[in-house]
Amino acid sequence: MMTDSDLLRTYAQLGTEEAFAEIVRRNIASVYFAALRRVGGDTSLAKDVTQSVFIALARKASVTAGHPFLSAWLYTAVRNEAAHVVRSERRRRIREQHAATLMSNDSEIPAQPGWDQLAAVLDASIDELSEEERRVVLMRFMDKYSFPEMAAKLGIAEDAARMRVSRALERLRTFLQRRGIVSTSTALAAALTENAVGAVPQGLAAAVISGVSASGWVTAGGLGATLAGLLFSPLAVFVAVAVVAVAGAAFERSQATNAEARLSAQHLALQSARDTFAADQRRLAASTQMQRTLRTPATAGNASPGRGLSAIDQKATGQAFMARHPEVRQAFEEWEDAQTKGKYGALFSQLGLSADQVHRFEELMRFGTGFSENATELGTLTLTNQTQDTLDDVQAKLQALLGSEGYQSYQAYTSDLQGRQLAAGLASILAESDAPLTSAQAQQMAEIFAAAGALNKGSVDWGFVAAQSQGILSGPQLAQLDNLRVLRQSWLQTVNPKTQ
Amino acid sequence: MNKAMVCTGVVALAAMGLAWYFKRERNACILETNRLARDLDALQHRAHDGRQQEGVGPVSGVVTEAASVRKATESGFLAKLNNDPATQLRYDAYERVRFAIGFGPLFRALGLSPVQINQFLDNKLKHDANMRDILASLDAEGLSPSDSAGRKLLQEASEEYRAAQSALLGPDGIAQATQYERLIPAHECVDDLDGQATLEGEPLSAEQVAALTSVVSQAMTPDSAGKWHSLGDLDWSVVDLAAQSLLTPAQMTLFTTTETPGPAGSGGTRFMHQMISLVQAGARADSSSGKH
Repeated sequence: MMTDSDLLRTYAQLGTEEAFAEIVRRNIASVYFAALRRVGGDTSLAKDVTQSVFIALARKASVTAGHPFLSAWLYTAVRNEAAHVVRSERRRRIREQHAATLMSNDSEIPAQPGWDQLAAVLDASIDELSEEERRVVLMRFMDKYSFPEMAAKLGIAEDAARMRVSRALERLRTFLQRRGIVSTSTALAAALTENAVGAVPQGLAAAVISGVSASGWVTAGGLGATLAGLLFSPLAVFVAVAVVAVAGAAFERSQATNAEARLSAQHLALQSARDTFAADQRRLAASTQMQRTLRTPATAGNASPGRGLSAIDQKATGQAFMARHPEVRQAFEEWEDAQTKGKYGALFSQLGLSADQVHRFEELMRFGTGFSENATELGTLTLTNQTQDTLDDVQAKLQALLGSEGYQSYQAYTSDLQGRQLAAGLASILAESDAPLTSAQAQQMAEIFAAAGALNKGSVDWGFVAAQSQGILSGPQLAQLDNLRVLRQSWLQTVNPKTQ
Repeated sequence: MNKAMVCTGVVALAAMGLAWYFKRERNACILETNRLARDLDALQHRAHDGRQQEGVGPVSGVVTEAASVRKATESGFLAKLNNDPATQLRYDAYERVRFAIGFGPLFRALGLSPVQINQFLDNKLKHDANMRDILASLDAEGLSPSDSAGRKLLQEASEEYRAAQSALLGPDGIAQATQYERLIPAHECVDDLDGQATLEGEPLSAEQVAALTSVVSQAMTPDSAGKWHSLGDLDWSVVDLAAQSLLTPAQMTLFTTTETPGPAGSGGTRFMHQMISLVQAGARADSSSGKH
């Protein structure tokens, strides 16, 4: 069975629609239901999201085919598309609230017609309005002008604008009544406010699609019939000229319709972007205010939230946090010391350091260490040790602590540290295998790793390691050595893509 | 004949006129579309620049403000992982090997073939990617994984993963795998100790590794309240007491006083996890007492 990636690649390269259809069949349920969940159970919105996601997938097939997991890509696409839809819905709900406000003075509201019922005859009824009435209805309910905006646009007083809308609605209500739709003007206004804009893009899209396909199909059919009948007629030449002209006109009409559709889509996109931009501006203002608040001295003294703070602020926040939670500072120092013991334990033995000297060594090694943790409730907290020492100070103190000879041993040991850590890592990987590393092998590997690092200016020359390990490690151990290589390299490349 | 030719000519001329008209309309539309596209582009750039300047991600609603700021400034790696295919590939390569190593003893215990192992790893990687996407989705929408919607999504993803692994391993196999996966930190803790001890000339025997892993696993296993423990919040005094009868004094010293970063150089065991647990507990305390 072909994988989703294979199918997508086939579709991208060969345009095989069946391949894409198979992808849709496989993933439609998960996409649809993911969309359904994200849009709050609205099946109509979910269908829209689903359609958009697969359209995007088809459009980006050549790129997406290289994605390691199509389901992950689909999830992200559903998320983005649903977020967009939900934003639109939020704006629609705000309009509903406005409508409710508008209706608040009405005490008697008869049973309202359903939108579907109303929508079926609305356009025809709007057509019956006068030019002026139609304009105010469209401004108020399609373009969402407020009364003051309408007044400014039309150059009339706000009350006059309200009156015009009211009259137009009353006329519209009368026309609708003739078509069997009974409603009050206020209820009609509410229905229009709630549904009109949401419905227009859908109708527009459907009309554009059907219009484009219909014009193309009818033109082709008409041409076929005409050509069949006239192929051998004496008028053939003239007819051929006419046919070419008609076909050209049909083609241009089709192109113009497409261009109009694109223009409409661009209008909608621009409007959406304007809405988003306006919302962004409000949020940015809120964000700026929030960050300003976080950085005030009064807050910093008692601060713990790390969200949105610079690295320096995060360190200050971490210090304040540890001041409030001494148990965290203690755990932080124990972790640092345990790391130092893990790295330098063999050196301590080699130099015969006393417990006090070890403790002093550990304190000096706390220089420059740090730990960042994303605390669920507060954001990132960066724990660091504060010291006035410079690196030179620390080195001088180490030298004083260890003596000249001891310090040289420390320097030599440090240069081999990476090799030791890699050898310990290999032994760790093999700990539960049938071929655990012996101590002798671990020592040899530490030397090889150190040499490989020295050969390659600190980064490990894995080719050298593999070659040198041949006579030392068994087959299964060599296989795990390769796993260690992949593990280290892929991790380093993940966190730092420039790493080779 | 002449009449027919004239009619045909008129039709042709009319059609050409229409073609000219539609072409003009199309060109006007294209020009207008391009103008709008420029406006849209400029608007989006302004919005993007504004977000960059303020460190705010492109998400909706004031409600998600904190999450977006946090994402932009602190979760850069996760955001990159979610949105950059190249980073995803590198991370997947890392995760595949990490899981192959971590689940290695389980694979051997279940006697899985290389094909089955690959399928197992595929399922696992797919599941992890799904979980990351769900968490990113929740974050983008300002929801917490503990919200009902978040719980439901995560639950569904877990069920899907479990079903895939069940189909591969069968009912007994999936039970073993589930239990094993929860206890991988115990294995890593002991394996890292053995790695360090081996280098120090004090390697643990296979029996010691198995026994100590069992002790740590036991300490992680749910208590009477049904709570699983992490390496950060298990009772280490109980573990250390049991370990004394299993390890030599030198091994015991290593076990209770040292920490290694693990094979990838990115991890840690008891000390790091204890610190993380305390940080999280302190943050929760601050949050509930309003000290932030």
